Amino acid sequence: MQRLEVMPRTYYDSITLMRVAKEITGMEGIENASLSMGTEANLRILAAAGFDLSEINVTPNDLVIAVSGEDAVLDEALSKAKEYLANPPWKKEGGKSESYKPRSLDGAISVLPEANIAMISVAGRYAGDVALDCLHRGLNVMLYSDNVPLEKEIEIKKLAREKGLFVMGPDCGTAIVRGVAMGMANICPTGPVSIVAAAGTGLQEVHVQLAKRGVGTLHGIGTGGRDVRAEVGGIMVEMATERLLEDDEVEVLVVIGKPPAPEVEKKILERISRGDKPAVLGFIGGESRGDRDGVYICTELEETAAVAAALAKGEDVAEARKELDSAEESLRELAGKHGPRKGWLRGLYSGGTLCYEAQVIAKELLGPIHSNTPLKKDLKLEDSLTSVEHTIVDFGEDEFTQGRLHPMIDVSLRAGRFVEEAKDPGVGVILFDVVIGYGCNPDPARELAEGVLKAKAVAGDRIAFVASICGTETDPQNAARQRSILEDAGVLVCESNARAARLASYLLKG
Amino acid sequence: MNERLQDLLKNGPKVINIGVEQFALDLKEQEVPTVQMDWRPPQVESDLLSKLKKLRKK
Amino acid sequence: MVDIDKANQEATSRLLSAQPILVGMGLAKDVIPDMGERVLLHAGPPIDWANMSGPMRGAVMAACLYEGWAETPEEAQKIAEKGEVTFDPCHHHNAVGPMAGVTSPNMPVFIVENEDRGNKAFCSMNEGLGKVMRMGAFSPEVIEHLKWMRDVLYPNLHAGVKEAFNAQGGIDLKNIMAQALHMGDEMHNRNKAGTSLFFRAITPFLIEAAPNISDLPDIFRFIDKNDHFFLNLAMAAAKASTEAAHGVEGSSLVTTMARNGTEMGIRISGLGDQWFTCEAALPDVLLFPGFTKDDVNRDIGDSAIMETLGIGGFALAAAPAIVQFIGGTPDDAAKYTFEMYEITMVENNTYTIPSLNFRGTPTGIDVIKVVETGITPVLDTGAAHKEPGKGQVGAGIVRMPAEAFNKAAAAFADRYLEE
Repeated sequence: MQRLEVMPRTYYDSITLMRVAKEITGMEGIENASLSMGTEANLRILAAAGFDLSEINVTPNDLVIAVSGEDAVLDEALSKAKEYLANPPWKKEGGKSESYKPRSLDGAISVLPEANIAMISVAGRYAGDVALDCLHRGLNVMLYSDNVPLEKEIEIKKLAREKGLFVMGPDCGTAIVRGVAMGMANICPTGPVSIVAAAGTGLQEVHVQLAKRGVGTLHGIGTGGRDVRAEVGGIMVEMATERLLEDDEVEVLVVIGKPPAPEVEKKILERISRGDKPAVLGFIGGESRGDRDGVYICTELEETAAVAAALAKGEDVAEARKELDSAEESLRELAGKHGPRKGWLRGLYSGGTLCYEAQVIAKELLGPIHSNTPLKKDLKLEDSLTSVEHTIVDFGEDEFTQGRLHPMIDVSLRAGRFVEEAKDPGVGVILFDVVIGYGCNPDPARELAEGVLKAKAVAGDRIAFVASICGTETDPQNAARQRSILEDAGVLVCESNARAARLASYLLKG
Repeated sequence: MNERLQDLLKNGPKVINIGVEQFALDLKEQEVPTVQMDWRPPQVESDLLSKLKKLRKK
Repeated sequence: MVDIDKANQEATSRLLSAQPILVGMGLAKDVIPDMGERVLLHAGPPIDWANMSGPMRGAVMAACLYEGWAETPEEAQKIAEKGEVTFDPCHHHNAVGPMAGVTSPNMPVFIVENEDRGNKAFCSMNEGLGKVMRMGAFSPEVIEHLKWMRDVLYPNLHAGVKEAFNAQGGIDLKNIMAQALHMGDEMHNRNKAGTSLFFRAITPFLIEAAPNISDLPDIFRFIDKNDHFFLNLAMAAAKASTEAAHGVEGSSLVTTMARNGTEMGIRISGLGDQWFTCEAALPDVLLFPGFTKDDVNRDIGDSAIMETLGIGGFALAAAPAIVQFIGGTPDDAAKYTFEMYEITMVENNTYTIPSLNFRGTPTGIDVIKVVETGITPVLDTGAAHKEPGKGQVGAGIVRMPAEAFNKAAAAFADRYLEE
């Protein structure tokens, strides 16, 4: 059997036509395939090949597709021929440039048609519209940029919800998708836990603490810090929670952040309770409440990870909590060995949530903590560069990052501040975090250790230095190496931020 | 579920990076398909741009 | 309410299906529509004498001398100033001209027909290199040469083209252009291969039909020494192709892009004959020895029709020789082409780039995409000395200014959003 089709006023060069003909001839059930322009010479050749041209009307400017073979496959052959003409399969490779950076979103999508997420880190005043464009083109979004107006965030998230796409952010510095580190994030194994986080370093700390307990994380979805405010209504937390509860690769769900607006918290609790997996809620600095019925409430990051790890491993949650208590005991002992110290606590942080957690813990043990991001408004530092009594500072805040790189990348400001604080005779303990992983300084411990040594030159033995490392041995900086550099400089390195804050406080409490 | 979200969660990220190039480099190091955009702020008033967007939607 | 995507599909389809054939020659006054008696056609959007730059004025003066309207350059200047000559864009008469592009009534022109839709386009013959009218020269040698072209080159070439038409319907220019693109031409700044292929095609007919066989050696030598001979034919072919795509309701295709040495103008398929203009760019080019940046005249010529068609600067990746000449690297060339894909509607099905795995050239400039992406078309072009008659001072990449595109996009939005 045979079939002919004429495509009027359609031109392709002879090489393309021969290559398509070759592809079609190779199809199962096809005897002969010929594509040619309708010139007299070509028509004679077709006729000689046994094709019946009596029914067709063709000029030299028309394309003739002729196929012969088993009747059942002829239609498919014709449509495949047309498909190959439009998208030649041999042109998949090449014709592109490794180093070409598309100027338009459409251009980027044509280079990477399988793209499923856009990562946006342009200036905040533009980032919102870029995010909207990406959503309109069907892409999920990680919005690293901050300074995106609240109204824009609401517009973006409403559109995302409409389309069923994720928007992580604004101000989302960290995300994990199938174990891939996006933004500032750590390399840990994947596993049965997934995290929804309103907080960057909060996500990082829990991610790392799980890995330390041998438990992997599949997804860590950032929602941006404002998502759980009443105005935004927790749109992303809701979407992410929903998706992860449905996902059969996820066995334990973790949700972390600062305590959300009451109506948002209610929604989250309600949804989780309806789900069929255990969930751990880590609302840092929130009220301690009882666990109930598959929903576990924690108030600290390591605690959250410990409980989630126990659930993932099928171990007893109460046991896990007890372990943390006994760790606290060891810290008291350690404090006894290295203290008591007299004077003020000065915390110098690069991670916002870690700074927050440190304040929550220190406040219980030492009293009011001053900060540029205080727990209570009246404890706000007048000048972020000048500490007052017990002070814990977040170096990631705007006043430090105008025209400077983020403190997780540029550690020089903090290293210098060690010396400044050392000059104050009232300071007894300096506490800090060292965040590693992708996106961070390639060797923060080195410069920080130098700062510690310079401070010790000024203060002698008066000040105790306490730190924690948020990272693993599989991170580029290698947590073990970072640890030994700090310990060589005389820093007491703890296993988690919570422990470091506790130890620092115990040292001063006496 | 949205197809692209499904793909993201089940098959991992394939990224269009708009902004800081280091992120694209970090992703490529993790063997994630990534394309870096040469993004520049719009040079035309947003008025005309939004009119053109409306044209496209039609 | 118009479907813009559909309109653009129609417009690009016409662009891609065009079949430009050289079918004849004639004197401008005899074959170019509405060619009045004291009319001079010129490159680019409309312009009057007062605003013309040096090269354009020089070319006008040369034309006046050639036509015998004036005996001296000073006289020529006077009649132009007095308004005794009418100026009109080549584009208004289905014609195009490189650099100053001045076309006068008694100038021989090529006739190119788009066999797909039957429309015709016209362009004069290329004078060659050095001090030439299109660069604004008007010395006696220039006029002499123009007369040689009319009295010796034209009669023989005309006869040859006629013979080719009778024998086989004319010379297929699209075919030559497609091959030339695979031989290192991009057909704006490099036309060596096209010239050679055309020469090969026309020669038998010249020999068969020339009224004066003894003229042929000089004619052959002239073509041999003029690497840009094919440019004018390519431009007419491009004009015939793009004009076919003009006038599609709702299409945002750029169908005209042209410069007159002072201003640059574009026209859009779905916006009728309205020009959208702005100041022409100052080419930042590789300068020939002896010239400085101060010598460069603003961008000039209808040769931007090559990029409007989808070759020229858009196919830089196909012309490594040119890339070196204009101060770039082969990687730069490819990058320009990749950039142009972002503002065009389709990939060409005839003009392809070997080094990009025979990917089709970026074709069909979309004015909306230009404005949305902020990417304007890139041309590679020659730059003229701003003083008339001093010739070419360099060659290189020129970026079209955004303003004309922004104006056109705004007009397009106003026209089609209201519906």
